[in-house]
Amino acid sequence: MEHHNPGLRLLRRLCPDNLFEGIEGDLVEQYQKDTIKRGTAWAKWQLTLNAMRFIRPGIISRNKFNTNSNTTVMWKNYLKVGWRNILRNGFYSSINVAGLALGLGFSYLTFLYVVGEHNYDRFHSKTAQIVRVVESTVQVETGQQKNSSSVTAIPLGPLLQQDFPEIESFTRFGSWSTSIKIGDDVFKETVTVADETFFRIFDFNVLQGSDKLFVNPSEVVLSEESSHTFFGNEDPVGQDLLIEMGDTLKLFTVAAVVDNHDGESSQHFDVIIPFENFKRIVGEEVYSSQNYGLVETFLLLSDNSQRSFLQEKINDSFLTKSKEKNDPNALVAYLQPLREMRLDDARPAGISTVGNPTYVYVLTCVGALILFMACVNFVSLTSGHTFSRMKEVGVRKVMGAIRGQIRNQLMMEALLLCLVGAVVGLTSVYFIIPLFNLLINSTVHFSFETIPVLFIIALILIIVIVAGGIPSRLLVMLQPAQALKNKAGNNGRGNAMHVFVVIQFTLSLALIIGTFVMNRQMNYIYEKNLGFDKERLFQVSLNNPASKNEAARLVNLYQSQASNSSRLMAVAAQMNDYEEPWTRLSFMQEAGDPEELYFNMVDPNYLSAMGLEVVAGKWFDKNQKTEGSKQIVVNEALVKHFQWDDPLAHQIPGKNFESQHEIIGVVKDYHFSSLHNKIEPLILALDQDAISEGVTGLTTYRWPPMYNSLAVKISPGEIQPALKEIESIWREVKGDSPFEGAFVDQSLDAQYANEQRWKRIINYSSLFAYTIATLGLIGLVRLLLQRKMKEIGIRRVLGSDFGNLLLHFSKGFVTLVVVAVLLAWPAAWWAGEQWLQSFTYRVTLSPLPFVVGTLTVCLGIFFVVGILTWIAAQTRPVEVLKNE
Amino acid sequence: MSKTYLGEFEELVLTIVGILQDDAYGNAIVEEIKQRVDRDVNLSAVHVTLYRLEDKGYVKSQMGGATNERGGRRKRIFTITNAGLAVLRAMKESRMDLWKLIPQLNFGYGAS
Repeated sequence: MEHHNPGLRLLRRLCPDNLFEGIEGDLVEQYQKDTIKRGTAWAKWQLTLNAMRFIRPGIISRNKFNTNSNTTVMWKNYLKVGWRNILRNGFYSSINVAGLALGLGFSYLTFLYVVGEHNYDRFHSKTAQIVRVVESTVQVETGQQKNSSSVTAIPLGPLLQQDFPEIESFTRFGSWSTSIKIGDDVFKETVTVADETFFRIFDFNVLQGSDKLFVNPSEVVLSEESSHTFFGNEDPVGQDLLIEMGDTLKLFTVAAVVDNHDGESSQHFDVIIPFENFKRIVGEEVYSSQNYGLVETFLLLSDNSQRSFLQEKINDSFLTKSKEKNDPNALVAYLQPLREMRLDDARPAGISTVGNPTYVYVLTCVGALILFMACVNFVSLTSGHTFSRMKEVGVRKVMGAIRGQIRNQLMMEALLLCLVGAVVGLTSVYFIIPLFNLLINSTVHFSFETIPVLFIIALILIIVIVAGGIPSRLLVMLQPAQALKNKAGNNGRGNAMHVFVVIQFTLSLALIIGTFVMNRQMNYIYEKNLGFDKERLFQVSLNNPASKNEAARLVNLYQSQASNSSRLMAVAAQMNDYEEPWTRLSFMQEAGDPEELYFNMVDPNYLSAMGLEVVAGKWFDKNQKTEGSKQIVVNEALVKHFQWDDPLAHQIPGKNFESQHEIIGVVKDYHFSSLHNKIEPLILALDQDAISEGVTGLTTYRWPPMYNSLAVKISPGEIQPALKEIESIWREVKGDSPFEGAFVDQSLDAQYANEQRWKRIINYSSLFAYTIATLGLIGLVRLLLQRKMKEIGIRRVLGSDFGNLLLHFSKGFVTLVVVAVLLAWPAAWWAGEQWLQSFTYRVTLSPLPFVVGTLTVCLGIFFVVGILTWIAAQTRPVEVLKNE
Repeated sequence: MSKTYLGEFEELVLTIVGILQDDAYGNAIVEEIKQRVDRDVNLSAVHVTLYRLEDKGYVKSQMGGATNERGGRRKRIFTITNAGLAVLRAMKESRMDLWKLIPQLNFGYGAS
């Protein structure tokens, strides 16, 4: 019955087994005596008490061994032996360190990049309170949302602040490209306009000049870069510059140079002037109109928690207003938090720059995968290598080493390798960052962030525990005698190594297939027939002519000059070119539905310059007056959109289209926007007035509507003299304005720059993954062969040549490759399909990348196995056979 | 042996182990201490001290016979080692040496 004493039971659990019997005996004896002396109850109580008294460090933390061994001396010994081991096995150590360094370095780099993307716009002290207004139109009856836009009307900001006390202040942010004159130099620049609150809402620190900014409307604030371009090393503050605004030049004085946080801020600006100047650019009417989305509107809320409440309040008031006016549509505002702007691709892009959340996500995954591979690599190599050191372990066991000590030693060595790998990896990141930034056009900078460093430390600890723990567990089970004879006799570890190989090859195979798929899609985009002839097509900017008439005059002048040249085939004028998104017109359909169509204003030469094809009706007549023309040409997509059988008999079904426009022809669809999007309905006209009446809204990057650039088609022959001619004609036509032009195919490249960048990132990361996997393979194959040296020796004695050996050892890898293929193909298929879905025009997944990727991996394996087998076969059989 | 140091309680327990000879186990030691120096000591304290002495090599232990009153559990019998005896002797002698230095008998210098 004394067994059931709670004190005793507890003691039995805690007390070392070898001490327990003696202690329990003494306690029971005492209990017996107590029972006789004072009775059972008291004795029981005493027993519990006495047993509890044994729960003290002197008893429970007393281990059988070890308390006496001097651990610090042993640690020193591990360090020394570990270091010697690393140096002695230079091949294995360098492969191990290289793999880990690659993995850690790469993942740290991706981490820095991803952190950079996430920290976008977070440097402002009021980040949490800043929102951007994103508007869309909603049909009141159906609740259907349309025409979402991040650029809003100019009067919106002041109106909102007036009506809602929750808004502390607002700033509008707009831009247009123009020329800046300083002395005799002319610079082409994008000039930004913002309210004077801009510098109070956002934290762009003043580097030089006054802290009080935008006190008068003729102040200009520069970024460091633009200040350097304009004034070199001179002090920019107080200097004058002339900004071309419409048909005049306006004088501005530099008030300050600020840090524009390039690469950290969604609002990019180099030259920024007070907002009221925008009135001269867009005109009085547009400046006060609600219908033109031209600027981004940022609000500073007094309290972040009021965001959704305020949003509802704003939308309620919008709804009430449109009901008062009997308007079937109402505006809906979404207050987008500033800190979410960078990676929110659900909202249309505005003036601010945006990142791509999908790619950030993909990069995070790839980084994690590579890191995982590197870790698997390290663990498998380290634990595999331990088995080639059985003799040492055997001797240590004979000398009295216990399991903990062997484990400690193995861990110590793993730790040493890890530390070397981490140092090498992080150091190389430091040196590689400039190259990385160049390659993918980013602004990552090196820093020791707390979280990733802690993460790396934790990771190293895990690696060390696993890499030291697994083999020590297996080794401890061995009898010293067996160990001394180098008999491993444990098949479990062989399987573990196979699993590692399979994991690595699955991952690298999937990545390689992904790379092939991505490259194929990108090539497809490049080679796809765009519907127009992009070759030898050159765009010349008209550099923001002062007025519509001035633009027309320049175009005429240029065309007449160019008509004498045999090198220039055609010169056309256009409003939208391939640099920016095209103008969109919105209007009400007769049924009351809002409708939005793309629009471009062109001249009759456009057809031949672009190489478009007319599928129905006719194109604009060359001799026709462009001014006041009511004729329009539409694309096939528009015909399909309205489901017309005979487009020439119809009109665009706008409710307020009073003036009679006339559809005279239909052109074959051509890609005027990125291949990510499908071809949208498009209207081409000689004059904006052809359809302007009745248009209720306009989203444009070009203002006012007029010709902005020329499209010049170059005749077959040498390009260089033609380019010179294009420039010299421009000099004759408008000598005081800088010449600026680009080939259309290059502008298109710029549109796909993001994809290009990612293609490169994925290419490089799959190269990384492949390298790591190959390093791992080299290590494992070598270990395998080392253990089979005797077998190789016997085989050679019996007459095997290198070919036989290679065949024999490659066979073992066939199963592994098959398993890897079975795992990798479906995964790669799924991921590739997901990615391709983001393109409207895409390749279908063909088996080719899968076959090519698999062949690449197999070749790699065969190559590694071949070389290592060859090296192993070079040893003379007698060398390996004389052992034992 | 110059570095060895035994606490007062350690010395007491070690001495008792020496006295009890083949019958030195936890309870016997507690009782012996009670009997000889009239001091109530705790069983667990005695055990801890014994193990500590064992670590230091002054006693060794083996499992002895089981008795009924212990519910069949064997006793852990401690015996003093030569090192233990030596340290006891050394301590006793050094103490005696010191003791001799104390002027113990008054020959009446102050009585006159």
